[in-house]
Amino acid sequence: MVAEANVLVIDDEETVCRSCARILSEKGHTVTTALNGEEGLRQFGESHFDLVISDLKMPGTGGIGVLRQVKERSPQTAVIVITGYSSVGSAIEAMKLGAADYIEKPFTPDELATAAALALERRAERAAVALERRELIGEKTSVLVGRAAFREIIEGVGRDVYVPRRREKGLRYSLAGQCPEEEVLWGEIRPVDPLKVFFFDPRRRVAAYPSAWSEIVSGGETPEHARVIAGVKRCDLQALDALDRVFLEGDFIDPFYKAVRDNTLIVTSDCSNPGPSCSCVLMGLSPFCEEGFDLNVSEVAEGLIVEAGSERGGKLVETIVEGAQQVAPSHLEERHERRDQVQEIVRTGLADLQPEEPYEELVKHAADSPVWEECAERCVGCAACTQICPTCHCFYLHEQAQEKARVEGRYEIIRTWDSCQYPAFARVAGGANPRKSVRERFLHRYTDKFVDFKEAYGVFGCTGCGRCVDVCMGKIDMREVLYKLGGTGAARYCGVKA
Amino acid sequence: MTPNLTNPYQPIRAQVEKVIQETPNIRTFVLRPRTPIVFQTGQFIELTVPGFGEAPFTPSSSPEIEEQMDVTVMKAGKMTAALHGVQPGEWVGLRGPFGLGYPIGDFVGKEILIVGGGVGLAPLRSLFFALVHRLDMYERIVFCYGARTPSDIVYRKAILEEWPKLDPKIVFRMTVDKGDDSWKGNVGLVTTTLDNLDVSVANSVAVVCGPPIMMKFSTLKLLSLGYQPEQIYLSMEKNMSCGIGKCGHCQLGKYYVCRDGPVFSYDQIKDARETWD
Ligand SMILES: Cc1cc2nc3c(=O)[nH]c(=O)nc-3n(C[C@H](O)[C@H](O)[C@H](O)COP(=O)(O)OP(=O)(O)OC[C@H]3O[C@@H](n4cnc5c(N)ncnc54)[C@H](O)[C@@H]3O)c2cc1C
Ligand code: SF4
Ligand code: FES
Repeated sequence: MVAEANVLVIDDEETVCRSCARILSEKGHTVTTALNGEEGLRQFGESHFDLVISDLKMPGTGGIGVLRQVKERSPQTAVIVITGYSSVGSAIEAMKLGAADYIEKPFTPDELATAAALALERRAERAAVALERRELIGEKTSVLVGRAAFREIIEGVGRDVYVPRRREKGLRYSLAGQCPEEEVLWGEIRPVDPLKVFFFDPRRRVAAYPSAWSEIVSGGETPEHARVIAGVKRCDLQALDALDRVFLEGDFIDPFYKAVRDNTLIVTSDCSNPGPSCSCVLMGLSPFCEEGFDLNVSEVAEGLIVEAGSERGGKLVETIVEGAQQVAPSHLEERHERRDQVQEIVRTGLADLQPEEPYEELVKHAADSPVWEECAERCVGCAACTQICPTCHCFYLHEQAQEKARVEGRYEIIRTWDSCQYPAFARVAGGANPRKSVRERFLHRYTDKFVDFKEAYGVFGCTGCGRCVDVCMGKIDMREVLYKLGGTGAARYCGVKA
Repeated sequence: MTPNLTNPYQPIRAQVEKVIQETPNIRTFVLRPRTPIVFQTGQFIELTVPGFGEAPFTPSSSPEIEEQMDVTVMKAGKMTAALHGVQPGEWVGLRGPFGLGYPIGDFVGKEILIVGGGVGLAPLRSLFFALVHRLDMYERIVFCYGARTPSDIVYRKAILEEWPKLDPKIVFRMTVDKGDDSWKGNVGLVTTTLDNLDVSVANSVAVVCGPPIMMKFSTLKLLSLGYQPEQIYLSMEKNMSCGIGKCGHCQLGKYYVCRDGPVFSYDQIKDARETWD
């Protein structure tokens, strides 16, 4: 049902105006009438109308003229034209110009009411869609800029600006000030280091006592200046979301993570050259970002499409004036094609690693599978997989065992990355340990990533970045383990890689 | 703002006022935190011995007492050995409280069966004090406790002499695994104290705390007596470090024991793979 609307009726026959007004008022609408096109357009300029019903043939400005002007001034307003039998041709022309409908004279009250109701309903739908679109993309500011101009913008943000830089063994986040322009690569693949290193230090002091903790924060350990990390890929952005859930949710917020997170601007960029271990698609992700960033960068032939995804990012984009162009539909089309293409490359590379069942189901029901033993056999327990994993967040707290501390009477609590792949991770005093064997620890990692983490935090603990595949000393490929678990064909063999 | 609100890793100082030798390897430390730590019975704290690191313990004192806190600690490894070396007048670090304690609101009007073994009595003493504080609200307390030998009984005087006489609503059932010449009571595993219970199971809850093996067999026994999994509460002991649900050490399936426990109903964890290990 469409609520009451403001309707303007324009017809040179007064009886038509009056009967229309009566019929539509009965439906609850507020009706204004005008006896010619000029008068109608004057009325239209004075208040807001949801619907205009206009006769086509009038002396002076006719219905087509009214329609054109109305559409120009207010595209949202619906227009219905009234035609005599002889002018159906012009009615069709009116439809092409954006009229919602036409009715032929003479019409019954029902015909008029129905046409009005339909036009208003469609108008409301379109308005809702437009609103949604604006929320989705319209509010996001996008510009097309050159690479150098963009670098200047982000380098202006703060002191620590990291950009993705070509290094011997892949991309590394590198301080922008030290990085020659030709070494900055916006596309390519995720950098070697997981994004977590910026937010969750491998080792840091988290408390000192007996003195107050305020000393620690003001001790220059927590950057108060803004930081930019650019070149973040989808898999790592997803991992950041996972870490946010761990460190920022619940009754206790990690103050160190929060301080850095709040001060950091995240600039993501589309992948252009995925590697053999890339598995974002297996985890239901695409190799580009659509939300969750401050800025996103997509390379196109003419430059970089820079899109804002947050208020902070939006403000920054607004400052880009020099050398910035508007993003044209052709740029978006190009981006779309590139994205599709890269996604297809990742998908194709994974074609024979995709088990039939979802990972979650596979792992949940396979605790007793012999596959674990078989695959764990190659595990040397080095924990490289968890260190390099962008979502692994385990740590332990310990004391700085210094003689100095004891002499000075000042103690420090240090937080260091830990790993569930170490034998004593879950051991308790007295020797009990739920994960004594490599198999149990191996299984635990998969169970956490694909089942338990999801249940605890709502997202998977794996984002398909593939780093664990790259670094494994035993050449264990998580995807092959899972594939084998599915028992689908067993064409590949765990750990045996080409 | 107190420091702990902003940095959950920061301990506060607590003075050791008194050290009580409970058994050859268990001591109770009476602590006076610099600022009172208000806890719910069953919640735990992280205690630091300067230079030796932290470990989790459940206060064994009444939650009604705020300025002081008792912890009862068994010497079990590096940190606990260092703690046993701490003398009255020295200080330690405390942070917390953490986790979810006993849901005593749900115990109102019920017969509460407490089953403890060894140093597992520590949280149960706190629970017992909390229940006794409002004894009128509960139907009855049946307290079953087992120790290895008579000399391993914690809170010995209280448990053998004082508490059983507190009120007719309170019943004690004691046993030791191995008796000696002075021991006149029952001999047998703690599960034997669950034989011939005169408890109306339907209106009862059971609270179990002790070594893993004792918790496992007590739980199985309770189930065989007709207790439903949701009527049985267990204190899970898992390796812990942060106490705030971030470090991953205490993970038990989808739960983090420090955050979602340490007290769980058996119903919550009965299907987890690592419950008893
Ligand atoms: C919620 C909870 C409450 C507890 N309450 C008490 C209590 O009231 N009284 C008591 O005597 N004991 C209690 N324990 C057990 C006590 O925490 C361990 O005995 C203690 O951690 C052993 O530390 P350690 O350094 O001496 O041993 P080590 O074997 O040297 O352990 C080194 C570290 O591993 C971790 N760790 C080892 N064992 C355990 C364990 N069982 N639980 C958690 N972390 C462990 C600790 O971080 C410890 O510092 C409790 C454990 C938990 C989880
Ligand atoms: S896994 Fe996907 S998102 Fe991550 S680097 Fe590879 S292609 Fe890009
Ligand atoms: S002790 Fe760190 S997560 Fe529970």
